[in-house]
Amino acid sequence: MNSAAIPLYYDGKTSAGQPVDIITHEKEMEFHFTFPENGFHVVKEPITINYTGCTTAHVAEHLYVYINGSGAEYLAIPFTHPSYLTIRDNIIHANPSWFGRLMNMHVGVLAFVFVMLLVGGYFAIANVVPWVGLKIISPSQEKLMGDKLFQAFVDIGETDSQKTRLVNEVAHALELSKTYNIQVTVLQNKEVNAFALPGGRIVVYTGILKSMKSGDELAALLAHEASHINKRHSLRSLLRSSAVAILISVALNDASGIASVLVENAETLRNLGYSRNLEREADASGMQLLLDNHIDPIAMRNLMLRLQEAYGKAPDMIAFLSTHPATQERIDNANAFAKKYRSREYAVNAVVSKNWDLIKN
Amino acid sequence: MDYQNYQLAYKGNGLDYFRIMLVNFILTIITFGLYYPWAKARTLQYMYSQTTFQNQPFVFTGTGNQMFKGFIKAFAIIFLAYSLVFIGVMSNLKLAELALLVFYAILLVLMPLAIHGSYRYRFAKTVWSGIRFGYTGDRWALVRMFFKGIFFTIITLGFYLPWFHMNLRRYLLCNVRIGNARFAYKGEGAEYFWLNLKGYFLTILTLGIYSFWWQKELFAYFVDNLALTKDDEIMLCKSTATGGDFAKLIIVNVLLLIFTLGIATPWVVTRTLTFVMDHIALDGVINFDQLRQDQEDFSDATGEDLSDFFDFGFII
Repeated sequence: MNSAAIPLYYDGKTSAGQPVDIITHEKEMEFHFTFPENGFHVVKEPITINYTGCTTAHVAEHLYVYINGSGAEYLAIPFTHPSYLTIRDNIIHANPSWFGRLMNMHVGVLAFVFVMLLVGGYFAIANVVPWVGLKIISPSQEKLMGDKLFQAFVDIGETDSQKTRLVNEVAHALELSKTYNIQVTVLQNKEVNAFALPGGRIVVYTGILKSMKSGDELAALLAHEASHINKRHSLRSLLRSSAVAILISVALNDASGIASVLVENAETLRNLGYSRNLEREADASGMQLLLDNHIDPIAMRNLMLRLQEAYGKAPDMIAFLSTHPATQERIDNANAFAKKYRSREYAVNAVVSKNWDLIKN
Repeated sequence: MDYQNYQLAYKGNGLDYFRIMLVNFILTIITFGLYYPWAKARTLQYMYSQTTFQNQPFVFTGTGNQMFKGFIKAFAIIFLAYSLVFIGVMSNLKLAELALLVFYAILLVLMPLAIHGSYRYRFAKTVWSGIRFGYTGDRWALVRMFFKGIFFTIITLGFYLPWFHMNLRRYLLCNVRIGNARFAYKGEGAEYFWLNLKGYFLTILTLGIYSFWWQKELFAYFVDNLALTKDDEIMLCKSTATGGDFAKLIIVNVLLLIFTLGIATPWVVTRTLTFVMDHIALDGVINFDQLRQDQEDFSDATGEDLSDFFDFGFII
């Protein structure tokens, strides 16, 4: 045996390593001191070390075996030593841990397991958390939340109180929701836009009212927004995006900044697609509400036409990036839906037409 | 003891670290995050063991169990502080502002306490050649230094920051021991201020190119001012890194991260640690065979975990 392959034992009391011969057994190993120590030939009793409690580290060309938790008593075995593999495996065997088991797996397998866990965790959390959240949060709590949001972010513009009253009368003349009390606020704003808050609040800009050409279109708008409320869309997307955000921050906490920026951008795109699905759902369910109120669902298509006039025909690329689906696609969907009910008789809703005249003037 | 050169090296490789990161990620995910302290212990054990001085590896003797207990305590402390604000906000809006003020005051005290605890734990668990490191600083002295530093930083609109930074570093490093040898640091606020001012303006003037040389100077200011003393013996540290070395390190690291979407992180960390250890030259007359076991053990990891909450990393 050449001198480079001699294991050295450090007893934690003196700093120099002592050369030893090692005899391995199933549960322990024996160190025999056979070399002169401090210039004198000292006959020392061999010591027995139990594998249990030992930890190992591979450093350069040596395996370090730390004998107790202090880090001071240890053995350094060169990789060339015949007992090196036996000792390493016996220690792993005597100290079973999930970490040790996984460390023995191929790195490709580990990477695959990691990716699968991330993907699985993503889908589980993106779907389970909103589902549980919707079960736990009651409509009245939802209303409180909507009111808070309204006070914080919406109630800063100028309210058109007369139009607010008129549109509210229209909303109440229609049957829009069984669970929620629909409450409309009309804000002075040139933008052609309207949105729903969780719990029953609908905000309508004067801009969109101005662009409309009939009372039925107003009914269609209210039906669309009321469908968002009935289907609890804002709460659902809020729960989903916060759950995913937490998952991402937990998973990528130690990863590099670049990865998290990439994931966040991907997630924004994903959310856009998600909200486009919600818009489609609100269109369909809104038209059903119109039918229930004996209003021709073609009004939904007409409303879309106003949006198209306001925003122009969006090129496909922009349509993909927008939260609202391509308007042409929504128009086609609305047309297809209305076609099925073309032969029905639709009565004029007195409140809708009376108030519409007042709103228009 | 005769004059000699000492060797410091990092011998880890990216693949080993990658494997450890993967296993840690997997176990952390399936335990819903509870594995985190053990994952941290495994990572530190690996990194320490791959760092060698005079061909003897460092050992991190801290355990996941200790850090888990510390994590629970740190969590309780943060939770109490948050509840205070929450109760204040819920009961009365006027009280809310007071509660928030108290909350910030608590955080301000907690930060130096976290650093203190982290230093005590981290160094008590650092062993080289059987000899334990230790941190002997006083926690309230650090709190006072922190308050003074923050006060002057605010009233000087930030200009005091380099002095604050150097006072802190000097205090922390001068209280680090290995056995009966102690570290010494002689960096000063004024020098550090001019170094940064020069770095800042030259970086702008050269459209960022000087930033590598600025980095080199910051590294050198840390290393060159550091020494280890034992009785009347001393070991001096010297940086051998040039601005060009830093340019190569940083540019390759950034390219690696970008083109692998961050997967190269373990290799980047390995490259960086290897670079750092390879560019510290050590010489002097300390006989390390005669180090005495002088530092006591300390197993409370609360400060270590509090530092994690504050996202401090490890401050020097």
